[in-house]
Amino acid sequence: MTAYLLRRLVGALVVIWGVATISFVLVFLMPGDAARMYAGPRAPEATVERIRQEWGLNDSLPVQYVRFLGRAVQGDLGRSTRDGRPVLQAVIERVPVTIQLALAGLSVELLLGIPLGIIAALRPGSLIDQFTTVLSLVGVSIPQFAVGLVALYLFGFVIPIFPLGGYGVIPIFPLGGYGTIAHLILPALVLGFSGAAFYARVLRSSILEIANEDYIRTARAKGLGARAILNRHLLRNALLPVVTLIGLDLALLLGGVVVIEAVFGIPGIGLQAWTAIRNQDTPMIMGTVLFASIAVVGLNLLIDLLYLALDPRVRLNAA
Amino acid sequence: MLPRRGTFLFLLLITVAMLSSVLVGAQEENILRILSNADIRTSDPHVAYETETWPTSALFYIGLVRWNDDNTALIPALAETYSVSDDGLVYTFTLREGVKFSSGRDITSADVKWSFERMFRPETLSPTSYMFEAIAGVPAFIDGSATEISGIEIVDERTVTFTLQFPVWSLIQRFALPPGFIVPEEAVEAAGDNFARMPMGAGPFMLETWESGVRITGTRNPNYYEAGKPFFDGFEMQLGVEPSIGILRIEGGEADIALDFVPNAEYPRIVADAAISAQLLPTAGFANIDYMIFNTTIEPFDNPDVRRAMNIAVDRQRLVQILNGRALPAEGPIPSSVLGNNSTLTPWEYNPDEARALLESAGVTEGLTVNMLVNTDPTNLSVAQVLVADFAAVGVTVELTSVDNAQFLDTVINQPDTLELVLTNWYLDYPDPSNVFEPLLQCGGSYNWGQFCSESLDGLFATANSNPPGDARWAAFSDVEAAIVEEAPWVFLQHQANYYFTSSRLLIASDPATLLRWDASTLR
Repeated sequence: MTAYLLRRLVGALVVIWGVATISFVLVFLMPGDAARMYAGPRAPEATVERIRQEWGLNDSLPVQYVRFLGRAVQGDLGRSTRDGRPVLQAVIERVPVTIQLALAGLSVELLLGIPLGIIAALRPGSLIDQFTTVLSLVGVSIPQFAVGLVALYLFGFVIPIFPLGGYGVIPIFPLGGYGTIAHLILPALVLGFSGAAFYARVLRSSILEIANEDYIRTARAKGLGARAILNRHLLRNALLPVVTLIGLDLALLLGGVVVIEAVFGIPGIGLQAWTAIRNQDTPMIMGTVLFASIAVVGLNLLIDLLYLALDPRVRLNAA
Repeated sequence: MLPRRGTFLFLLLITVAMLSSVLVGAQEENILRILSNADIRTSDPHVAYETETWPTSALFYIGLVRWNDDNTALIPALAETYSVSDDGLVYTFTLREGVKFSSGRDITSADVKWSFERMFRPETLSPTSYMFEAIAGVPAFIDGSATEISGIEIVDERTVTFTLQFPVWSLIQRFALPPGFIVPEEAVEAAGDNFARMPMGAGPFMLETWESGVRITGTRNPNYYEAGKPFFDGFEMQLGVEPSIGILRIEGGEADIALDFVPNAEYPRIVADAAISAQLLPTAGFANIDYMIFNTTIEPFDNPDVRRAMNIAVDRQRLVQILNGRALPAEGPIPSSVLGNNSTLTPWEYNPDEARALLESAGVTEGLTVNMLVNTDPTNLSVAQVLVADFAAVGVTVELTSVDNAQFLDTVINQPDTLELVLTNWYLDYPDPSNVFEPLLQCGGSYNWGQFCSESLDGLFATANSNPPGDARWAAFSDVEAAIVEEAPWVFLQHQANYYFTSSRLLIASDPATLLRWDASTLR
């Protein structure tokens, strides 16, 4: 078991290093010039050249890469070329905001998606089943920015139940910001809207597939009640793909929900990454990429550990 | 019957949400509430240059001069008086007696000298220092061979002179811009790398808090040079507010002004609504020109007839429609709001038949295919698409290359020889016609991406530019504009009108230095 964990950890580090390296090379190859983006279109070339020299942008790719890696392993991700802030500090400030939004969005997805999925599976072809099918189509088809803007207009302006965007924090986390939990509800609902239908569809298929398994038939033959079969046998197995999805989904959400963050004015990691890319702010791009890759790799590791706990077959293989 | 637990929780959540929004909506009366879509990257006046960072730096800093209330003349600000020598080479400023930074320390002429020298120090990495490069001794200071700028002389505690290498008559206007704002040495030293977000100057407000990406707040500067100003006790700037949402927030009474211009899509709705149309605040600065550059070094665009033909191939009324009426067709490069504009120029008549005939007589027959570079700005893209259709109608096929701004700048600045046509725009830093000719149309001008060069025009420009501000200068520039239009180095498209959106309670003005007059803003 320990050996398995160690193996996975080393693998995770290699993946993170690989992602960092590939990203660094890609950013280096990107057309454009970070110094010019900092100085703006009107600064004379001499000024831009001075900035390039100050930031070491004239050095070759290997020199810049080794310098980046050397600093990164010591926890120094450099300073943003856009606003001069230390990247690590900027990322650390924004991570809680994104975690909060991601968890709120995921909660909405699961709170809506799982019950809908179960009901749809138990009554295939019913009204609620057709409703989830339509909802998932709608959820996937309408762009989030449109849903976000319409939701803000309806529930922030026409019927002002929620604030018109802005950064909210759950009061139990002393994270700063001017908002309240009310700022979080609407973005979480918009974020959860499309995801919920997706979870419902996955869970529905999974339940229907497992319902035809021999052990379910056996359980039924033993005389177990429908509720007991659902709770003890069906759901426990049918939720496995959902758990995998949660891991991937959460990792994606942590990587940044640019559109939702932009529409609602939430200063999360996604918006940070987007601004960095537009300004060719290499240190900040690398900082956000590193965070996202650590989130993805870390959550995958966590999901695998969760599988060990949930599914005895995986436990055997790991051993 | 008691509600079920789920229903109860849901109702509780909604109640909390409503209460919170009510609490959030409750604002202190005398606080100026500002919105910005962009996260403000800096308030350092020597580093700022964007639409949102210049007005932000003007919250905390001010310079020696500023525009008067009518936006017709420059008046002293931190200075009590100023004068320009007859030859245009020496600018003398005398500071007001007892004028102070917000910290309470007196501002002296040594502060003025230090502040201007700071702009040129390598570590400041100032992108706007070029505006003052004409000061004598600047080149030696930049290359390190001098430890001070010889052209900036401290005469006494309150008097400082700037001596130029050559006359630059528009220089006095540049003193009103953020690069001319006075920055105290001790604040820069104390803040170190964080000075961008730790402003301290002599402007109307002092920093209270700066939460990156979230908000900036400030309180009134009790040592402001004008007694009784600013009117507001403080300000709160919320960051990351999408422009359309910002307008809704202002309409809903949650905010007073957005630093972002009213988006094109929102403009018709606001103009049509009598209840809110008066809340549009036209920008006094930001005089601009949208134009399409020809690479004048390649065939067939080295031929003025071809360039003129393409000017009359464009339906400018259609372009104005695309911009929802928020623009005026351009006859030449100088916006009508800028002195020196030639008001006698004839509008370009849309005439595709004549354009085709002109092209044919210039040897351009069917089948000419060229590339047009444009950035991904949605307005630019819409304009580009109209141009593509108009040019196709006269037999010129234009292939659009749309790239993000970083790549756009990289291409136009570093690979000008690869260009054929470029669609772009220029916003004047200050309202003087030299700010168009010098960078954009002079031989070797730093933004003359089409490499247009006419020695006779350069001569006309030099003569016009040697005149001090006054009728002779404006008349001479008017002639320069007529000569430029004759050469047609660009397709002159339109001058956009930009607006801020303000709350119904706020009275505020904008000035030609592209700033907002924060200190004079009041409640109706």
